Amino acid sequence: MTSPVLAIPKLKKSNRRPEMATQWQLMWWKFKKHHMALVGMIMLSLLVFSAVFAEILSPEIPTERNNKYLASGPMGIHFFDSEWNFHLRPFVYSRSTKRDPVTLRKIAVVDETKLWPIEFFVTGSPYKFWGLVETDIHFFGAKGGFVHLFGTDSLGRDVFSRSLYATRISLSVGLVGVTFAFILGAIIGGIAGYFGGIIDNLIMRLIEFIRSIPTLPLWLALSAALPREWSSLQVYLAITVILAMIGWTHLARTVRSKLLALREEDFTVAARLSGCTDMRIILRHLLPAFMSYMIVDVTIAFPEILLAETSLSFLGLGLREPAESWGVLLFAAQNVRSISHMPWLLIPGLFIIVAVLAFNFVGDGMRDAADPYSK
Amino acid sequence: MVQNYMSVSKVLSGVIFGTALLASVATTGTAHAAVCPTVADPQGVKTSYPQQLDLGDFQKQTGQKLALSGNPLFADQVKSGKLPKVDMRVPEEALVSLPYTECGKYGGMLRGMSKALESGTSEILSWRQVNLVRISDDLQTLVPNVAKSWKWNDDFTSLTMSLRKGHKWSDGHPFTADDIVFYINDIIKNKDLHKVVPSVWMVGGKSVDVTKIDTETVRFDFAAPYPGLLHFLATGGSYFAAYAPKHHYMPYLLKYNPKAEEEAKAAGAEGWVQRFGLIWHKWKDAENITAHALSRPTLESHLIEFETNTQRRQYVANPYYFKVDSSGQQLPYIDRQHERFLDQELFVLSILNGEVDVKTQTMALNNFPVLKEGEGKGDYTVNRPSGAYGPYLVFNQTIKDPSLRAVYSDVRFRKAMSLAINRAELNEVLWFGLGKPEQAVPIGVPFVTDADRNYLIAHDPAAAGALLDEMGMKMGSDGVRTGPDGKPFTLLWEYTAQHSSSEFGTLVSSYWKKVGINVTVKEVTTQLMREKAAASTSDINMEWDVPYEPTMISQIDVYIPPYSDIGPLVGVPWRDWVGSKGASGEEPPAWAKRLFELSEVWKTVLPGSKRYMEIGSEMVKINLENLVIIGTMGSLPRPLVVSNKLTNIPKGWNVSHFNYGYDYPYRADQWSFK
Repeated sequence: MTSPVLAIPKLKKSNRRPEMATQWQLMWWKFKKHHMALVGMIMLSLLVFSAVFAEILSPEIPTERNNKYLASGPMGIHFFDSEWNFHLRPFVYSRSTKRDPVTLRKIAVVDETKLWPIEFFVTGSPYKFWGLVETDIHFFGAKGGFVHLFGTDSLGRDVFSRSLYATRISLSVGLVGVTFAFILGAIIGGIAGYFGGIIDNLIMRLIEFIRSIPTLPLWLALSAALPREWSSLQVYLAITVILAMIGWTHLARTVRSKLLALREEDFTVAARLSGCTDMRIILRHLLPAFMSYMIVDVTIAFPEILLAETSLSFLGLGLREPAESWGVLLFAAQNVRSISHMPWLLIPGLFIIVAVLAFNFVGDGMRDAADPYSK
Repeated sequence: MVQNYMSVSKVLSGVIFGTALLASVATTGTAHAAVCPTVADPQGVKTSYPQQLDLGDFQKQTGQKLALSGNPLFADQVKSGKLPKVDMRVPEEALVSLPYTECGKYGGMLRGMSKALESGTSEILSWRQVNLVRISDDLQTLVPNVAKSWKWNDDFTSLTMSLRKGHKWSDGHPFTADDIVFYINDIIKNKDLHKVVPSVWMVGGKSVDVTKIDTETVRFDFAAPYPGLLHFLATGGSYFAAYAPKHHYMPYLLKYNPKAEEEAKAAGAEGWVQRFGLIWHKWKDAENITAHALSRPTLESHLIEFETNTQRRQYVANPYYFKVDSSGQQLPYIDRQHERFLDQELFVLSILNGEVDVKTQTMALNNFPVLKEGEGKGDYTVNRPSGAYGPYLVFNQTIKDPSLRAVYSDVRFRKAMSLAINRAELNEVLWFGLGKPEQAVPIGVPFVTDADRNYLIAHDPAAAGALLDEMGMKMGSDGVRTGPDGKPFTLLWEYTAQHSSSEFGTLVSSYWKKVGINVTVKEVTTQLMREKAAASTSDINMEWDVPYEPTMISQIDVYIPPYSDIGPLVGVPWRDWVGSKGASGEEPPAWAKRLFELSEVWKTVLPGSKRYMEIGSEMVKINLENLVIIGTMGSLPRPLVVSNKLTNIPKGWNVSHFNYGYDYPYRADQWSFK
């Protein structure tokens, strides 16, 4: 590998000792200089955190219906009441709904005289945390009433809670999909690049074939082929695999072209002469040589898979009610009624935007950081 | 409906432009138009049928000859001699139709929308369609329409119909008894065109016989009493015409034209049968798809004007239409009808933009608030006539899977599922509390009691649980019940957007989950659902058109297995068994056999008679006791959007339903633009 000493970047901060730093430290320093990437990283961490702890963070379980607050808007959290008195404990105003006698529209009625204080670690509907531990502790809730940060849908389900659960599913679809794609891409691309010749030829033609299939009709056909009896979870797993089966080709090509170059390098020849097995040469010597590149590729593949899942569900082909995913939530909002009377149903769309941007920023930062010696 | 009354009159008085326009009509329009007899003010004119009478009768009552006038749209053609004068176009025995509020003025284009060429177009068809008889806006009284009058013999086996003297097709050719005889003998009873005579024209196992008595008189003879025929023609059959232009179709039939086969092949068809199928269709909208419609004569109020494409279809007034208003103006008032094909999601937007004059078909109630708030901008009024029922849930007792069949064919399971549903909450959450929880029973028939309507509709999960326990469906520790055989039980509920909403599926399945039934809900396409229903592989079917009195009289098939032709609900093998006299299918249970028996008698009894009531209540009893169909709501409103620019819209428009032909009872031919 190249020696770090020869290409020490000029760093402004004097307390840093670049010559003593490890490769990872150098990368981290470089990454930190990319502010957007840092912001993206924080947003992503938040999303991942809320996905992991979705059950605890959400005040309600996503199938729970609040009949007292149907199809009504977000409830703001306040510290100051209507008379500008400060409350250390945040609160929401008491709410109820009534029906407009003429238009029949549900209207939220805010009662500013009655406050529902926000309490933390309250007991609520029972659930199984990660499907293992049965508990009824929720991170927050309104004492004496209810709190719907993002409002409710037409069945009275909490959009905030549903968004958190959706984050878990959508992000993990991306994670599983990318992991599959990564493994497939690295192995198949590695084989093609390392062995070359007829194997390379066959694999490359296969990749070209897969990439030449228009993606939307392919998804339509594959998701239509899923057995109808499958539960939402099974459909979800199948879809991630489907997405991955298309997603690996890009990475495989990159890996292959890199390997084609690297296998002619001296250190590869040395390894071969030392009697290393092919697999060991690929895994120990060749892949690490451009691991940084692959990490970047993965972060960029994430948004692609996220959007693919979303658009599939949005078209009613991927996940379906009562499962929650960003696409499913948005699918329910795609009508005039929701847009004009329940715009808060579009909030899950913001999650998608944030997630996709964050992944792209992080990927951008990583590309810079991956080669810490560049200027 | 008092509510409709008030909102319409409020809008009428509130729109300044409207009043100004009315005033200008009064000053510039013809003097007699302003004072002509109307439904609101008949001015002493007595009608033997609601809101209409024959021209002769009208002239006798007023004591003077009614001077006829026609639409200025045809003035040029009359001048150039292409069209005869209006006196020659309107039948001598024309029908005088009293306008609701005023004799209107000619002109304008009535704009509507449908989903696609052959999807959701019935309402537009109802604007122009005519048939021998019509149902009046009280939805009870049969009134003459194309036919001038009719007479049954004493035992309802023979029906004599009189037509209007001087009535002409839209190409000017006389419309006579021959056109009816041609329709029955050469189309309906033509073995090449109809392998089996349609059930409407089959009674007592034999098809109808039709005889021409003279040019304006025709007699139908049936093998058994058939009192329901006219009800059918006026309601469910209002979309079909019981006649066809003989002079136009003769050349396409092999019987009249030995060269029909070669001509059809030369025209690119497989043969004359296929070609005829392209140019004639019982569903009159289906005839208006090809360019052939431009040359095909009709009796409807409007004719196709341009070749139809996938975006729009347009109609222009029929110069030979057989109705006049009470001031002698030939109807229709409105020059043109325009139908746009749109995605259903765009319906609401299109209405909000004021691009539609009348719309009620396929409008979902949950759009009402958006529509109501947009009234001012779109210059329309939206009301809520009754018009929707259900949704209905039918467990497929003849499903192929034996373990599922054991569950679904157990009446205790169906009762439990009905008791588990919280109808009050459904009503509040999905339908603004406007529905009326009710079990599945025919609508508006005298033999259904309140006890029938309320049968097992109370929300009682405990009782439901007890029934399931009794069946041996044991509740596990995870809150999920097994099947009676002790194996895991999953109910796969596939629905289509046409018959349910995803919200309905989510809510009802949550009720069922609460009593321990493991439900998986899936949305599928209507096409797939119908295929599965026909093959008896679906768990739940929902496609039931609840019978109303008039449709039930003539179409009892909707109340016996399999309850629907297009999307069978339950019992396809039973029907096959009965139809094949035991050769194929499966033997139906005793109750279903009894229903098949009763339906045979039903067709031949006189509506309102003692026997009619007996048979009717026995059928209700059988269907309810076996809870074949689980009902949710007995009545639901449907948004009705009417442009404020239209006049002569009835104030009592409080039902909008497929069975009555949507707008058909409310006489679109006398609607007029202010």
